[in-house]
Amino acid sequence: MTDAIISTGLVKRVGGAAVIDQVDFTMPSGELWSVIAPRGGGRTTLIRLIAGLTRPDAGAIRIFGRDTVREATAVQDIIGYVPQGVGSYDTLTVGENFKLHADLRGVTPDICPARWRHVLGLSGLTHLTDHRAADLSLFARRRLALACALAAMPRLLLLDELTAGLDPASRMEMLDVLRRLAGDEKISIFMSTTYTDEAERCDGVVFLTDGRRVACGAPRELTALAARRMRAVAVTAADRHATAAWLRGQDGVIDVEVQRTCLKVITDHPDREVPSQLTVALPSATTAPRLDDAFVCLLHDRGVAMLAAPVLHATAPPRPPSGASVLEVRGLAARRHRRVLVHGIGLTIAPGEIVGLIGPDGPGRDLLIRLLCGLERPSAGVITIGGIDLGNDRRRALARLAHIDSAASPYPDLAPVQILQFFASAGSLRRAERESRIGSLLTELGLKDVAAVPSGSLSTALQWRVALAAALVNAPALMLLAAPRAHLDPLTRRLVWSDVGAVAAAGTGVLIASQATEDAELCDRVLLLDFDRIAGPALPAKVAETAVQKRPGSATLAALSALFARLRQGRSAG
Amino acid sequence: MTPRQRRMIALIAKEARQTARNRTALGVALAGPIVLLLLFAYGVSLETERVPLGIFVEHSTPDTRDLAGAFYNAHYFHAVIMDNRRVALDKLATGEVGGLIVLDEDFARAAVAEGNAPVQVLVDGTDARIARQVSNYAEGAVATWLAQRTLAGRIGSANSVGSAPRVWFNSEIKSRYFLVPGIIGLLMAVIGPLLSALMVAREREQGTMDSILATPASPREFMYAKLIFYMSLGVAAMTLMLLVSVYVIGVPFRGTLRPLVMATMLFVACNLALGLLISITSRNQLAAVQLTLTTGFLPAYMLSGFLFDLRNAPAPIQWLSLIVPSRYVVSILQTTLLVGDEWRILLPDLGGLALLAIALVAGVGLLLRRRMS
Repeated sequence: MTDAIISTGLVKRVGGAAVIDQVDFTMPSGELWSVIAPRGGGRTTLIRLIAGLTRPDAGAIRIFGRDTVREATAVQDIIGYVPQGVGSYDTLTVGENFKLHADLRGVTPDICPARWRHVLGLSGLTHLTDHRAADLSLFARRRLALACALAAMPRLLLLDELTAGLDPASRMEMLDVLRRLAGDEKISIFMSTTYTDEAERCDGVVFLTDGRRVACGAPRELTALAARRMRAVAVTAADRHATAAWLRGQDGVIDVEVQRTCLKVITDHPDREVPSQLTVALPSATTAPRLDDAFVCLLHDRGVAMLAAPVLHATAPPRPPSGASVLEVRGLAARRHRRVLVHGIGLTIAPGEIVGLIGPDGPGRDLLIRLLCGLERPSAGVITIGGIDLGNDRRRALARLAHIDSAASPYPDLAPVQILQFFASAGSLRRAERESRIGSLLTELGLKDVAAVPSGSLSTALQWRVALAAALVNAPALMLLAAPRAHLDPLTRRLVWSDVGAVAAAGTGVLIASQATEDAELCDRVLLLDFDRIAGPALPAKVAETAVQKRPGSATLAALSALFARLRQGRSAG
Repeated sequence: MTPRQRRMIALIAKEARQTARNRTALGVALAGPIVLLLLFAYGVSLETERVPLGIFVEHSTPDTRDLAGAFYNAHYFHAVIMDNRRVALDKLATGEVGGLIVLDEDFARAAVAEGNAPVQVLVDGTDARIARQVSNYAEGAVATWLAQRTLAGRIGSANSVGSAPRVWFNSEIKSRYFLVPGIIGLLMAVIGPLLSALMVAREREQGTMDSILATPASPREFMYAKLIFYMSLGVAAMTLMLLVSVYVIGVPFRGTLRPLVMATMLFVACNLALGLLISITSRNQLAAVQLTLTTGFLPAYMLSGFLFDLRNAPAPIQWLSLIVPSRYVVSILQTTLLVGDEWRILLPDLGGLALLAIALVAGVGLLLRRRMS
């Protein structure tokens, strides 16, 4: 049988720079593959090239033996494509959106109803046909986009970030659907994603960085490669950050990931000894090698160096009285457009604690974060930041909070030192104190040499450091971090996490909003949020109390999915 | 039905459904033009009526009263008689009056004795158009008054040579009748491109365009389906505006429907194609709006002959106006509404409009092919 996709010497330039640079791979028919790459890594361009929406500057792609340029119409007849974003028309109903695609693909009305029922069943939209697309949840919209692409039962399905912004459980449900399509319907699927947990469930993965192929193959083979270079080191919660910092300074150690009771160490060579008496055998539940670890190894071998993790001495926030919390939320509720989106949220974060806010992107999560940032008033409940009531003394409470909503520099045109001066001027520090604090932050975060360079020209890792420095300049009690993982390359993701560990070690509480299961594993506790998933009256966001109390030592994908499932069951029963 | 026809029908039906459910688009396309048309028609006027005019009379005599009465009764002015020079000058300075007629001590004596009365006319020159009108009228009024006085004194009543002006095509010389066709052209030149440019930009932003283009539907089918649908919407908007012009505003309609229908279709096609061109080149909705205002609105405002007579413009500007669709449609509307089917004017205008429409629509196809490869 011919291969589904053969890409040979593929090159695409945009304004002189190569966005896709000599990419080769072969995807056999009937398999589920993913392309994984950081932002700007060439994911979308690769998919658009395969879909024939843009032409390669060199090289060629053959879809089931047909060239995407010379046999464009023939190729378009056998592919289904879901672009980034929502991909369906807001004002049309589910049925009308589907019919449009069926008509465009020449699925004649006499066979359409049968196809219709079949595809709806596959994507689980049967009860939503008459709803307008705008009223659907993000998850349902993505399933609708998938259904539209399936209208003519293509042989190859191209999916661009179909799962972006969905919660872990929805993402896994989507992967189940895709696996079924590949298995039962014999549809070959090539998808792009930023989540390595999804890539792990694929038959093959293409890993791109700066448009170049870094790795290509079966996820299991790639992780097996990494496994031989990985060690686990048992630690206690108290000394884990110190041990990690020490280990990072050792010869041959590429990366140390800090978990609650152990450290995951990646070395530069299978034979490398980790100088510790505490080394335990791999794999255990959380220290099992992941695809992400393999990417870290591969990037390291290509000579990409990682920044050293900071030790925040001079910049630690003032210690709160013992027993005090940096964040306390009680009975929080809020609505938007008369819909209750946040309801009954309670949460406490102790100094130095990392708490994950795991749930889908959407108005509910946005609203919760805006409430915590004091940008919107709750209809009920109390928020206390660093011991100060946000409702009573907004200014002083917000002075204790730092919010990083993107891992990139907040002002690309300004130099790091200018950015820090600007953020410091908004705080309450005195001038002399300010200058010394900016100086020590620049040193500790490794920004000293680039302090006067426009921050937009810095590497992603250094830009993250700029964002972090800006957040830390006013010595916050609580740091709020939104989606730190999406769109970053594996090395920067590791850096973000080791930095977050250092921030926590210095006594700042950290709240991280994310959809990635890997993030959940690294948190001390997770808060599961579930927002309206189906059409109809919006259901308030709920908190799984059990999950909050539970240490996510084994908060792996399966456990998270199960928790979400329980949460939803409880709600439909109530 | 061929697959291509079925695709076109599916795409057009999609546009129709979307528009029918999108109140903003409907408002912009249909309600907006009517509201703006009425606003412009009744709010804007090129005529100077009831200009506040001060008459300073230093010494009241029958002569001054007689002349002041001439101003007082003219519907051009709203005259106020004053007897304090300082107050009068103040009012001119603050803009309370647009002009000042000064009838001082010498006036009556000189008028009667020497036959040339010294009347000082002070005009607020800030608005050149009003200033010219005030000074012209004031001069004329004084001259007429003086002539009448002279005739009455020496010959009694006598016939003199006079002119009896008769205005063709707009006998009431209402600038509204002249402006309305221009306003229609102006509004369509903004709304047409805006509609099509915004809708395409939105599809691009939401990723829906890509999902359509990955089907057997070609970029050209996608664009031309939009063009065809918005044609009907644009023609409806223009028909509504013409109906309101004739039946509500009372603009005469002396021509026939034939040239009007042709001009409407061609003009709408021009503007929509312009919007599509904009949307192909601009990245997002904001850029599309900015580009629409600069390429649609400004040329239509300045180069259509709507306000500024093109015959007075320098030659290069006149040539430039040849590629502005509004220029032709304003002329066609003015002709069919006020004059009638004068084909010696209509044919060249319709021809120019048709050439522009063909060029723009073909441009959409060409640019699409260039962009997609």
